[in-house]
Amino acid sequence: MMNKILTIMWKDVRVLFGDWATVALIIAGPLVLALGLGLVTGGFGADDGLAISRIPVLVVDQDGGPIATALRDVLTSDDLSDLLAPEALADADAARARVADGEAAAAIIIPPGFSDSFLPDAMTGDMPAAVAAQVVADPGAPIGAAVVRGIVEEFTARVATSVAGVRLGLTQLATSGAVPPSELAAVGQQLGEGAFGDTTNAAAASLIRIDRQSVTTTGGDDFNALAYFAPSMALLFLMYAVTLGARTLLAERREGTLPRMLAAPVSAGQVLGGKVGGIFLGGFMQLSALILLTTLLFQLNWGNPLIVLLLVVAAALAATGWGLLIAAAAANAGQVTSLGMAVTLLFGILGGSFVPLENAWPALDALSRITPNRWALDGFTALASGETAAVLMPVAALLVMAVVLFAVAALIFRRRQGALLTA
Amino acid sequence: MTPPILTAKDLRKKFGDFEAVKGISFSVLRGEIFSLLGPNGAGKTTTINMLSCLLPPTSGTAEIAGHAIPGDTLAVRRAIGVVPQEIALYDSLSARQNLEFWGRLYDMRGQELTQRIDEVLDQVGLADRAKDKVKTFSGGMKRRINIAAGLLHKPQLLFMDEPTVGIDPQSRRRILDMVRELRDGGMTVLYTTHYMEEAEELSDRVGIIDQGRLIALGTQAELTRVVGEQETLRLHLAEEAGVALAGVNGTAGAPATMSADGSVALFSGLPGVLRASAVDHQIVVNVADAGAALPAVVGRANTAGLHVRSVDIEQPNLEAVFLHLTGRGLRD
Repeated sequence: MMNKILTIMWKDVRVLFGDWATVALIIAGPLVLALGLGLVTGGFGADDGLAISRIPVLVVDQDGGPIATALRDVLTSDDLSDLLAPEALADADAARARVADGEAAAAIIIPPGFSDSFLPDAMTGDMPAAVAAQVVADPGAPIGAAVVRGIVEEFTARVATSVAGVRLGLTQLATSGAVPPSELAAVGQQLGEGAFGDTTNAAAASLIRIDRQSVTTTGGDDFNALAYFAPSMALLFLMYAVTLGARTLLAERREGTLPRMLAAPVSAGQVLGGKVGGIFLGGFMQLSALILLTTLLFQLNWGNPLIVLLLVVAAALAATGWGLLIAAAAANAGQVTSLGMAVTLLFGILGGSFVPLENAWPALDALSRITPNRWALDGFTALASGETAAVLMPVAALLVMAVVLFAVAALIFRRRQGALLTA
Repeated sequence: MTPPILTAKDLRKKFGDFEAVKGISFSVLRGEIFSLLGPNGAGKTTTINMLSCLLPPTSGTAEIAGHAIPGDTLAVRRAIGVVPQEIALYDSLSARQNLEFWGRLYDMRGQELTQRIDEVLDQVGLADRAKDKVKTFSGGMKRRINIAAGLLHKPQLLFMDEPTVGIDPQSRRRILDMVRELRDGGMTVLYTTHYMEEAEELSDRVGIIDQGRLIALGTQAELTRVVGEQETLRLHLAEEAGVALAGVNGTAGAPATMSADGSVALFSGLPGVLRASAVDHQIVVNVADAGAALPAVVGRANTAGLHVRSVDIEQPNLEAVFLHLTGRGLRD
């Protein structure tokens, strides 16, 4: 059963990649376009003056507590002065707007209650509900944003560890009888102040250790256009690749290879499964090849490889769904080509392949959500910014899109099966 | 008597209001070449498609190697090989890659598949082009690979649907020789064609099909007996005569105009002329006695401005049978 599906899938991939003109179009095309658009929109080469040092970061302290102060001191400490260019702001919305405008790589918003959320209740010892510092990242500066996020995460992790140490110490003092219960609160206060109360640079900096290492990357600049256009062009041509695959569903019928397959001991389901699998595999391989090539050629950092793989699979599935729907709706292979090209370009425009959609009209932003380009681009941008958790939403949306499109295409195919899968 | 490997009973196929096959019944015996001879649109390919389970019959049944149609679809497909009229190959793959793909669909794998691909490539004379992409092949070479793909799994019954359409005479000769070799090797072949010469040369038995009906069936000798002692005059005309044929009037006032079914009225009334039909740039005239009718037939054609270049006198053949049975020629 599976053998024949895999045989048909693999055949389709060989046919797709066996034509050098097609390979040039779907692999070299997006690379060249990404490079061209990168150059036009401000380049992607390393600007040493901006590279990894002096990352502009906005700090909004709405808490004012000792741990918030400690975090601010960490960010302004001498150890980080070469790395960060922090600026204090009072208004969180203003900070977000400036990040959206590309004026800062990230904004750190410390909400009210942040410090208290680390301190156990003096009477009961229970921990209050967590209040997390927010990092608003600029998708156009994924590396800078990732550095800021890393510093904040490291800081909060170390504070949490210190708090746990204080709690453990108090518990031991209490159980050993070394400190009477009536004095525990005061001792805890002293231990806490010892850990966080002294907000000198030296003490604060001890919460974060910065290791500076030389790396061979040529990137690392604050805004890397290639980091945006490489995935956006890859997704644009993913749509084209899947429509090429979907076209074969109808072309093979016209050329006689589909009836010939059906004259072999193969069920219609196996043939259809193999064809759909072939469309998916072609798209998956094209997208993977582009990611690999841009990683090797331009040292682009796409993020966690496993999550990248998950996103590629989801994007290829959703694009396959659209390809199938186009094939199901078209009367012949020529129509698939025409419709496919139109949908590819439309989705490219709507999905942000040519122009980032951060500041798009709300209606356009909503409309862009029907495209796999938009969701996958959101996912890749989040990944490159180090926001691994933020990839879950795009992946889920792409998978839901794939399921819905497969179901609709299957319904249409079922109606047309007599015409499509017979001689 | 050799048992049949295929028996079709009253097969019919309707597409909407159009009935393409109107109740065909015949048997194909094991080890023979059975030809379905008929003009384009006669229902040959539709019949093959029903027998290879690509199209469900509207009514009627068939049995192939003991497996029923409709019913035992997969078993029937395992027993048969199909060489379709189209060149059903992937241009961007090599000959070997194409054959590997089709072989795998018949559950062939590994050494068995490799060895069998070598054999069929040798059989069709393309072993030295195995690694070349099919798009670099001539039409005849593509036809031969098309046939090789149908032979891979050594089917008991091979359907060959007009396998020589559109190829050069050398490739056609090679394919006809190959079909005979397959039969001599024990394979049964159901061959469809609209070329009378191919059916005559290859077939152990012939079924003549026209407008969805099987109008005659038997060996060539049995079929030509239908036309009795008739002979055929084949008038080869100049190319421009094909146009003239459609417009000229006969000398006796009878219109020479070729009718929609290809019959020609120019020679009606001449002594010994039974019927006449146009095929390409030729006019086929059935006569009782070729020697006696020849001067009058050629004279009237020339008078009508048809410029007869040469005349063949033929003994009764399948074309004469078709003409006799339908009043029309086997047209392209």
